[in-house]
Amino acid sequence: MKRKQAVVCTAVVCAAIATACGIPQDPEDTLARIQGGVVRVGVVNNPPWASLTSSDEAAGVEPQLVRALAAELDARVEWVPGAESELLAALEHHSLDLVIGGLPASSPWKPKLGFSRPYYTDTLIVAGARGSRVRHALRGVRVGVEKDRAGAAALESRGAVPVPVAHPATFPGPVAAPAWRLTQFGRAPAGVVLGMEKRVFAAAPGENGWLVRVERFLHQRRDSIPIMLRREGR
Amino acid sequence: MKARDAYELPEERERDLRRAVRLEWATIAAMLSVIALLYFTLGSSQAMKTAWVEDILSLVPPIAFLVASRYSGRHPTKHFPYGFHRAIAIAFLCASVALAGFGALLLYDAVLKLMMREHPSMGTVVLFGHQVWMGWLMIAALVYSVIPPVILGRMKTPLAERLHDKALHADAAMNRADWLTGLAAAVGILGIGMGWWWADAVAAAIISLDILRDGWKNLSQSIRDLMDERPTRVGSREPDPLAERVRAALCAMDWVEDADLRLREEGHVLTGEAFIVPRSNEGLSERLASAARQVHALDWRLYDVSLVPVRSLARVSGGQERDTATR
Repeated sequence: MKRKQAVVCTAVVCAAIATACGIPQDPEDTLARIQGGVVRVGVVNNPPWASLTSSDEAAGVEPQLVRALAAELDARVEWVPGAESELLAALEHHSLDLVIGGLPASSPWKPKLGFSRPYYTDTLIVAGARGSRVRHALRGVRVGVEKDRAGAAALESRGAVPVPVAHPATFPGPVAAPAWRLTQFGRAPAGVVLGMEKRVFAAAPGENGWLVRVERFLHQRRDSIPIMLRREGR
Repeated sequence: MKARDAYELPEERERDLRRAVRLEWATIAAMLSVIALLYFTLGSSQAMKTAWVEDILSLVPPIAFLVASRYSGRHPTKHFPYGFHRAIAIAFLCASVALAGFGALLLYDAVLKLMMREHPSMGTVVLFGHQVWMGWLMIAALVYSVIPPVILGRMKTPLAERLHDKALHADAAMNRADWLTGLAAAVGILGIGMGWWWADAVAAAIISLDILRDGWKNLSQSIRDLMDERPTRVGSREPDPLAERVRAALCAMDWVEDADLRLREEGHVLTGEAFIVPRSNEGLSERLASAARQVHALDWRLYDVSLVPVRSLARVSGGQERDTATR
């Protein structure tokens, strides 16, 4: 019993010291390096989440958030363009600190990187034209989708016929799009739910102090995300 | 085929056995709750995953015990004239193989993670409106995971000693040692929090070494059991003093010139042959029958010990020189 008590006491003391030490810390001291320094951010071109302008600057919802975070940390941002898989591979080797661009939480890279908690959940909805309601059975129904064919696979698995259109806002029939896009088209974001996709930031693996800092920031700003999305237009 | 006589446990041992069965059911229920809780807090921690697998493995000995205790009490039949007492040894063997196998697998996994230099990422979760680092949640789950096994292990140990049940004793010992697993995993997670990426994999390696050691110890014990090793005390390799007591009791009889015996363990009971060199062959059947009654009255564990009259105790090479065995 004495041994057990000693063990429990040690554990409690450890926890107390740990809290004082600022758990969790980074094996590669990422957060310490970023504070007052440079944060290397890989940007995947994925409007409206993130896009790179011609002058090597980044625009979109996520770059705005990153700029705000960098301001909090008194750091300068270095935007790094590239393809998603290359940027994520660089992140895995700690050549980057963060990768953004509407990364889906279901990405197969999840076990190898430090994915943040989802900061926004995209709901893909099939909404009818103004005034009309969409029937739950979509078999054989022609549904308008955007040029990037988002949701086409989900529609086909339900037997619907996806029709890519250039201007979904003027499509006469039902349209499948994320909820915030439907609001932009002037349609109510209500109807048949096709699926949900959660958006995350990706941090370097194992850099838990940095990851927790990013997550706390995102959690604070969670209410401002829908507003930012509405402002982003194509 | 002459089947053995049925064996009946004495009252108190029967009560102990029933209590052991209840405790093993409680162990299964408690471990299921621990397994569910750990599953939801696993995250990307290798140490947590190893502790979780160990808790799943700790379901195997209770299940083995419960299945075996259903069978071992059955009366011997024509097809199984020696009865079913060996059932527990078989169950014990299966449990040890499972433990040893998984221990080796988990050790391999942990060492691989160390060699690949994988850095585990642990972010935050939101609980009741508060953002908490996952590591704290994992440690809380580990603290809970340690409590039921340690309590149940302490409750099962005295039962196992009274019942001379090696499988139950090993199961109780593993439960009692569970606090080490919880501590190692918690230290591993705290190590990650301090920035040492290898702490988690090292903790996982330590836990899996512990599982492997348990499996190996139990495997060698159950192999020795099945090879009919001389009876030993519960939880140690020392010879059981009961064998010597039986020999002394036999030698003390006035018609016995010399006696020796050969005993083996079958689950709870001790069985075997006692070789008696009688001073004369008069009234041998009655004397042997009364000697058998005396021997079996010595201890509840003695069952079906055959008394064999022989001309001498010297070992015979080649043919067998034994008179007809009577009981």
